[in-house]
Amino acid sequence: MMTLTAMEHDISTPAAREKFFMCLYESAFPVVGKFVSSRGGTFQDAKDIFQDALVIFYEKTREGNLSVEVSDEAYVLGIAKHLWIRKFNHDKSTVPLDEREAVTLPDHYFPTVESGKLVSFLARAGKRCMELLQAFYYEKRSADQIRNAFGYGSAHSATVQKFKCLEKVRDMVRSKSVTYEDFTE
Amino acid sequence: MRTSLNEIKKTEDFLTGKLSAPEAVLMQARLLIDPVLKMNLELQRKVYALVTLYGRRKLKAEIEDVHDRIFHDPARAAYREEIAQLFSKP
Repeated sequence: MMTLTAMEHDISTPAAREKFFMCLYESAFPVVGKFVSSRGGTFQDAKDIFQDALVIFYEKTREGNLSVEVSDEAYVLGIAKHLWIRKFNHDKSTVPLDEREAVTLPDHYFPTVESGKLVSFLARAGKRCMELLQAFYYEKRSADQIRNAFGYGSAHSATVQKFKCLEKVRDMVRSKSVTYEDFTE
Repeated sequence: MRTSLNEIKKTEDFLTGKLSAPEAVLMQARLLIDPVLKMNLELQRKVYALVTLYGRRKLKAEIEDVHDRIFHDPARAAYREEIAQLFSKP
């Protein structure tokens, strides 16, 4: 069975991410499945929790926020335990967490219904811009990498297009908002 | 860049703490007296959150593909059996 250390992760391309997730499925899913099963959860619960844990693990890897002293499997299990507590409103004290599992989940990880609908709308009506914006802000690719991937003449052009897309999507979100108060929480 | 795009860039720099201290103070003062600027800032903050959701959805689709491959790969029958055992009723 393959394992990865935090220093060896390559998550820069879809092919590299596939390998990354494949390794984690092999090494960490059985551990998470055992935990979820022991708490009375189903296979579907384990799958959902594990996939969310992989997303968060990816984000922490991308940010360089991984501790090299903790194995990937332990880290993913720690995230999964926290997700289990949050998702099913379980009492934290009933889930055994050791100090290696002191991970922080992103704020507002589970989206509101309103945000989910807005994303679906933007995925349909503003796909090109959403692709560009997620390459910059979610994947955190450089302007040069994005210039190549999206076919812009220069990194500067890609950056200008990023701001144009921010403006376009901002105005689409405004048009979909019912009241100003929706955005002042 | 045109003025509206420069405003978006400045808003981004403000939200990410990249403005100099005097520029940030000026921005805070403008936000107090300019409701349109304030609304645009909140909308822009919302856009970043929506882009994160969009990115996560794309990533989840990649992960789902991996799940499908693993759970349909004849070479991984033993792995699937190991997982199935975890959820079999005693």
